[in-house]
Order: sequence, then C-alpha cells, then structure tokens
Amino acid sequence: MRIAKRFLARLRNLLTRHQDDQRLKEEIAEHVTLQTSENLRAGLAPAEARRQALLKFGAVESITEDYRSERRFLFFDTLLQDARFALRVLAKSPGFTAVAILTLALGIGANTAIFSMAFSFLVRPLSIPNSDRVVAVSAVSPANFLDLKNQSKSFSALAAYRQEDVDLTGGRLPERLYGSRVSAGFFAVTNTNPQLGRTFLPEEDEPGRGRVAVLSYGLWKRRFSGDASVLGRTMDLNGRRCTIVGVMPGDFDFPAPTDLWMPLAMDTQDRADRKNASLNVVGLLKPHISLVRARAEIFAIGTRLSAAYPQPDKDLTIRVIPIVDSVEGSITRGYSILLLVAVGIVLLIACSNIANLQLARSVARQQEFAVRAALGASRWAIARLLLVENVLMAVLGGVASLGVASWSMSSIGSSMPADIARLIPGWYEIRLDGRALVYTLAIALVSGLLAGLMPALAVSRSAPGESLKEGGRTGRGPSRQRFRSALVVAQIVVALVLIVAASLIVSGFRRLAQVQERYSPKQLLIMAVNLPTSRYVTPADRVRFYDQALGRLRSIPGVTHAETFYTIPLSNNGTHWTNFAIEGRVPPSSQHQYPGAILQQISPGYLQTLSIPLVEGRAFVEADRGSSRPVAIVSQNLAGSYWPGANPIGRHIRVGGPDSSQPWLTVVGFTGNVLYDWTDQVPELAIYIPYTQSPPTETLLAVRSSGPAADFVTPARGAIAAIDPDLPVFGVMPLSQAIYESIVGLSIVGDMMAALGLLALVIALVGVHGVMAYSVAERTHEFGLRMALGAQRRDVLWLVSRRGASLTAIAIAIGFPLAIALARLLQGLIFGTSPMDLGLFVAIAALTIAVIAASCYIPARRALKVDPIVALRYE
Amino acid sequence: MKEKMDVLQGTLALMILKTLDVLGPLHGYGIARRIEQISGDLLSVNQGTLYPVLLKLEQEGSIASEWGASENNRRARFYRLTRDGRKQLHAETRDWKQTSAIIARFFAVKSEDFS
Repeated sequence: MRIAKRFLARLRNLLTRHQDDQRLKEEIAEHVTLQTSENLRAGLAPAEARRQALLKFGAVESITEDYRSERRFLFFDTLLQDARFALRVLAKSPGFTAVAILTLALGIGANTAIFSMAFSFLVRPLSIPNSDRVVAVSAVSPANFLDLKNQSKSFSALAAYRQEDVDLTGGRLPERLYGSRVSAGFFAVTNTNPQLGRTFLPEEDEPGRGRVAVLSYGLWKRRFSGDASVLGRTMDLNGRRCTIVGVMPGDFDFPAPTDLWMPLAMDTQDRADRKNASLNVVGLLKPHISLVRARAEIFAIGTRLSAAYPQPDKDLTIRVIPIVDSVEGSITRGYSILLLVAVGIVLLIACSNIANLQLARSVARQQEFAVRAALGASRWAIARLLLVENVLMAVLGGVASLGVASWSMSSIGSSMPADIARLIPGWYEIRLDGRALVYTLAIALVSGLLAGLMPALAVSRSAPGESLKEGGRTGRGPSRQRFRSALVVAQIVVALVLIVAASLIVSGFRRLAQVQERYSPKQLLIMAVNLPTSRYVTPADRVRFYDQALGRLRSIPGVTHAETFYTIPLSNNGTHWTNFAIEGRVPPSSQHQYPGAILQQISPGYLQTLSIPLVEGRAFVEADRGSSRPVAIVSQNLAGSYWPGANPIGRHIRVGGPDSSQPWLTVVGFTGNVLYDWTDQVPELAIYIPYTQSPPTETLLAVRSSGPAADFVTPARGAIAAIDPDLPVFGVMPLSQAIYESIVGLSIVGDMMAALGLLALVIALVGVHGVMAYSVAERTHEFGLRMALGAQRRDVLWLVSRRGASLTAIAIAIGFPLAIALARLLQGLIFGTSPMDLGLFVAIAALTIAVIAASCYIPARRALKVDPIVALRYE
Repeated sequence: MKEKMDVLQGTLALMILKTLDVLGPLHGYGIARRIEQISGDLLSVNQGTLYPVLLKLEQEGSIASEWGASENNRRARFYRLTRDGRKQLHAETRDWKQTSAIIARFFAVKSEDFS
C-alpha cells in the first residue's frame, strides 16, 4: 500500500516534471543557518560555526542525489535523456539510419506476416469462439455416441456431426454442396449464434423430422444474394424438400468446409448401429472441468461399453483431444514451420547486419566514447547509450514493418484461389491483430537488443586512454576486424542456405508445371458428377448414364474426345485407393501388409487422351462389358514389382483386401507410370479398370477439345442436363486450373521462400558492402602510401578484392554443405526435385559471387581514386 | 554497504515518526536536533541524510509538510504526522518491541540453559 503510494507520487512527479530541488535547497540553507546560530551560541567563531554546521550536515551533493532518486524514477530520466540523444545521433547520419530502419522493417515485417499466418494455421485453425474449451472425441458409432451423451457429465454440450455432400436441385442450376449433418446441441458446442433466423430445435433431431437447413453466409450470399426473406423458403436437398431456418455469420465455417447444416435426425435403425464409427463428436467442457478429467471419464465410459458389447466394441478406445489438435494439415504445418524458421533467420541476418554497421560506426565514434568515459561516464552508461539507440531504431523499424506485413499478407491472400482457401484450416483466420502487434513489438525490442549487444560490449570493453592518446587512429584491432568478417561470412552462409531451399521448392514447382504440360491441360475440361443411389440403383443404371453422357459430350462440335476417369494427375486429394491381391502369391497375413494402389475406373480413350503410353498389351475397348471377361490394365511399376522379369499380360489381379468379393481380373496391358499425387516422391502403383465393368458412383467426365477448354463449359453442362436435369455438375474447370489449384500452396510457399531468400541476399549484400567500404576507408592512408611508392591500380584493386574474395570463398565452402543438409532434411516437403541439384548449386554460387563482387565494386573504385598526396595528409 | 544504509533508513524513519508524534510539527533541523539529543552518535554527522527519508515518508503519505516560520522568523518546511503515519508508527512500534524482546531473550540465553 505504502509502496504503491510512493510509486504513484513518483509517477506524478515524472508526469508533471515538477522540479523542486528548490525546496531542498531552501531547507538545507535553513538547516545550516539554524545549526550555525546554535554553534554561535555555543561560543564558536562565526566562520568556524558555519564550517562545523556544514560538516555536520554532510555531503550536499550526494544527499541531493538521494533526494532526487527518491523523488523520481531515475532510470526513466536517464532513459529519456539517452533516447533524446539517440534521436539526435540517428538524425545526424540519415543514410545509415534509413538503411538500418529499412532493413529492420523488412525483417520484422516478414516475421509479423508469417507469424500471423503460422499462428492461424497452427494455433487458431478454427473459427470457433473459446476453442480451448472445445474438444474433439474420436469418431464413434451412433449407438456409442448416444451412450456417451447420456452417461458423460463433463460436458455442457456434446454433439455429433457427419460431413456429407448434398445435391441442391430445383431452381436454376443443380449444385453440389458441402453439407454437414449435425445432432442437437451442435451449435451450443460451437458457441455461435446465427446471423439470421435460428439454428435447429431439439425435436428437429428426431427421426423423420429434420427437413430444415441452416445456410452458411457464403451460400446465402451466392445463391440467395443475401436476401433476408430467405427464411421459411424451401429448397430441394438430395431430392427432399427442406425449409431454410437460419443463416450463420460469415466467419463461421465448422466443420470446414460447410455450405449448409442439416439435422442429423438419425432413424431408429441408425441409432442402434454400434458397428460403424461414422460420427465425429465434439464437446464443450463444463466450466472448471479439465481436459484430463473429461478424458478419464470418457475413457471409463468406453471401457464400460467395451465390456457390455464385446462383439463390435472389443477394442473400443475413445480419445479426447483439444479440437485444435484434431484439425488436419500436416503439409501446412510443415511449411508453416519451414517459413517461420526461414523468416527468423532473415531477421537474424538483419540484426547482425545492423550490429555490423554499428560496430563500424562505433569505431568512428571511438573518440566520442573516450571523451564520455574520461568525463566519468560508466561503461554501462556508454553501452546503454548504444543499446537505446538500437532499440529506438528497431522500434521505428517495427512501426514501418507493419506496412510491410500488411502489404505482404494481402498479396499472399489475393494469390490464393477462394475454393482452395476454404479447404485450408485457418486460412480465413489470418489477420494482423493485437497479438501480431504485440509480437511485432516484442521482436522489435529483441532485435534492437540483439543488434546493439555486440557494439555495446565492444565499446564498453575498450580502454578510453588509448583512443584519446592515439588521436583517432583507433579501432584497428585485428580481433574486431575478424569478428566483423565472421559476421559477414555467417550472413552469406545463411542467405545461401535460404536461397538453396527456396530454389529447390521453386524448381520443384516448375518441374510439376512442366509435367502437367504433357497432358495439354488447357484443352481438357473436367467436371465432376455424383450419381445419387436413389435414382441410379444398379451398376447397369450407372453404365447407361455414362454411356449416354460420353456420347452426348462427343457430339458437341469441336470436341475430339470425351472420357471418364476418377482422379486427375498431380492432385493431392481425391485419389481412390485400394488394396489388391495377385493370383498365385501367398497373401500377407494381415490387412496392414496388403499392397495398395490407386484405382482408376476409366473409359477406353482415357490413356490416349492424357497421352499416357501403353507400354504393352491393349487398351480397353467398347466390348469390355459387364457380360464379358473382367479385365484390368496395370502401371509399369506395379507389373515390375509383382511380376519381375515376366510378362504381366494374362496374369490375374484382384481389387480389395483379404475379404474381397471382387472377381479376379485379367491383365490385358500395362502403361507408363503417372504421378497422381504430387506429394509423392515417386509415382504410386496404379490399377485401371473399365467403367463399363465397374461403374463408380462418383467420377470425373472430361472433354478434350481443339480450342480452349473454358469455351466448352456451357455446352458440356447442357449435355449432362439433357440426360438428367437434376444432376449437379461441379468442379467444372480446365485440367490446367485443377492442377494449378492442387499445387498452388507449393507455388505460394515457393514464392514466399524465394522472396525471403532474396531479402536475405540483399541484406547480406548491404552487410558485405558496409564491411568492404569501411575497410577501404580505414586503409586510405595505406593505399596512398603504396601508390606513392609505386603500386599499380591493379595491385590496389587486388588488395581490396582479395578480402571480399576470401570471405566469399569461405562462405560458399561452409554454406553449400549446410544447404545440402537442409535440403535432405526438407525432402518430405520439396517435391519433384532432388536435393543434390548440381546445376542449381552452381547457378546460386555464381549469383552469390556476382552479387558480392558488385558490392565490393564501389569501395574498390573509391580505393582506386585515392590521390596519394591527399591520402598521406589524411588524418 | 547498501544493506546497512537500508537499516539506517528504516530506523531513521521510525525515529522521525516517533519524534513528530511526541513533539508535534517540526522543521528538519528540529527533528535532527531531537534525534541527536536522544540517540547521541547516530545523527551527529550527516544530518542531511534526514531529508531523503523525510521525502520518502511524505511520498508514502505517513507525514505531510507545509511552509511555516522558524524560530528566527524565516521560512522553514514543517513536517507533521498524518493519520496513516500514526497507524504506521503504532504498527512498527509493536513490531520493534516484539523483535527486540526476541533478540533480548536470545542474548540472555546461556549455554547451561540447554543442559
């Protein structure tokens, strides 16, 4: 209490800057006068009486100091003083200040931008308020969910959901939407109120009810142009009429992506299902219930269920994890961490650069410091001056960095297609918020301290007497010079490593882009359909649809081929994966060891349309039908692994695991390998079967045309609508766009890494330039002397560039092994390229040498221009 | 060194409070004289150290000060105890008595007391 009062009084004094040394002076004077008259009364002579009084009072100066420090925060006073002085120093050398602040602004800005992105990917990938109280329970069967819900006491709400695409029909254009079926209480868990209307009532979760829907903000805007009278209107979802009861706010997208929510409304048969773990479960913890406690409770219930229903639930373990941890995104995670590290390194380079420039300047300011020290400034006072200078610079840089950050974030944001962005958990949570500001300020302070530390240490270590004595010719200590060279080498090394990593990613992207050219993707239009099992009941119904669709598509003028297949090359999701067995081979004992391959149901012309070479055998033909012998084509790598050295044609293969009921298929040919998933280092095995013998419910239809694919969107949609007007056709786009969208993340990361690498190189260049310029300036005298004694320009040039050359050589010798090591480490993230790309390394080394040579050029020219007479008079 | 200073300051503060309690409002010199008379050595030199302590007590709200006329009719700063200061004095007096009683007991102990 008293301490607080004292603090407040001091604060008041600080703010009012109330100067009352006057009062103390007056009190002292009065004190001494009174004591003097006392002494006079005691019989001392007047002069002696005053002298004794002063002696008794003590050292006025030190008492005044104590008094002042009691009155104010001394620390603040000196800090303000230092800051004012630092501002003057910075203003005196605007060039240096501008370079330093710009360097810091770039370094800190890049950090803020990437921190904001990484934060939303890693920590806040969900648009749920209070998401730290929300947990995900592992997927369970409906019956188990109901038991959990009834028995658990840890949750204020527990809800289940299932993501399931729905067809929106009626109205203009049938559309396929991301749907989520949610149980009662779902919106209580997510703690979000609708923007319009209401969410679901508990009774709407009952069997047979649930013909209601809540729209996402995006769907509402897109399909209903944000019309508020949409409530109460109906729409046909999967052929059932549903009433719209609410619209969610724009930032709510859980489970992402969702266009509309519908009640789960399981029927009695569903509710009794204890076998299929088809429900995702989320819960909101009650206040004061910890995750650990909820976990223990759920585990106990799981054990009970497992004992009660040993048949399906023998190995039932129900896990509870924070909802944030349940969000997938391992590639995003890897890239986020990679970028965070890279950007941290860039900031380190920037800091070391400023430290380097400051060191150079501190040598020039040696005399100033020496005078300060001689006048009684402590080492700490001088070091503090430099630290304050740097922190001030960093804070100015930090302020400027916010501009850099917001610019780079908006340019990254605009380069991501909206369809992809909504699939990346956390993308829409990226923003420059208070947290980012705090982070920026914190790293600004840290970088200021980092950059100021070395110069401050160096200055506080030097002996003032020496510098004064030598009259300015100081600071040539070889150890300081070596330290600065080491800093420069470290900068180049780190910049090299970053650039190598960046170029590997960029060249990986380039190579993927090259690979896709093989498919002439701009002239291939793809679209997806999903045949509802209610209307396409038997395989024959589906075959009939595909036959008709392909026929109609082929008859569009300008179309050369129309084909169907399941997966596009170079995608990284949506491949159809299957186990398989080879006839005559002993099958592995467990399912886990069963071989797997990508399964493609294709039409006969698929291979030719995508220019996939048929190595041997025959393609599918129209005659391969349900009634004829079931056939398959396999990829070359599958044939090579399972029938090594033998001809695969005529052998038998079966799709599915150990309990597969599929027929044995006769291999009729084998094809070249295709990279279906670009995140693979090598192409996966693939099995092709004709759609006519195994028609999928969902598939892609593709149209190869002579002109740009985009021109065929309307006629192709029309052809499908002519067969089935209620069938949504979605994902209609040129193959080039589909491939681009699947690798756009890599492209953005590549661009960001390249930008960081360039930034690092530029900053390192400034550093090299600073060191070279300084060493030339320092040796002006020596150069003049040499030239006066007959040295040629060539010799001087050599003297200057030798330093730069040796620094570069050392940096490259250290940098490349490190870069290769890093590349190996990143192998899982860098696709389509090998970490040992010699040509690339040579190119980067050449670039580095060129850049360093350029940064040596200006100082070298200055050295050549030295007039021997002037140089000798110098100093 | 520093610690000794703090101890001195602490005792000095208590002495100031007690002096003001007994004698009523006083100026700095008056307080110094009074403490010197009672304590002998402690404040016979470095009387000036009193003033930072007075400021500290004032900023803490234990004492208040105002200008007044001194014995020789010149302006002097007079300090007086506030209500908070009186409470503080009582509390610290109690603490001080407890502490000195404990210390006294420790010094009174002889080795045979333990046998």
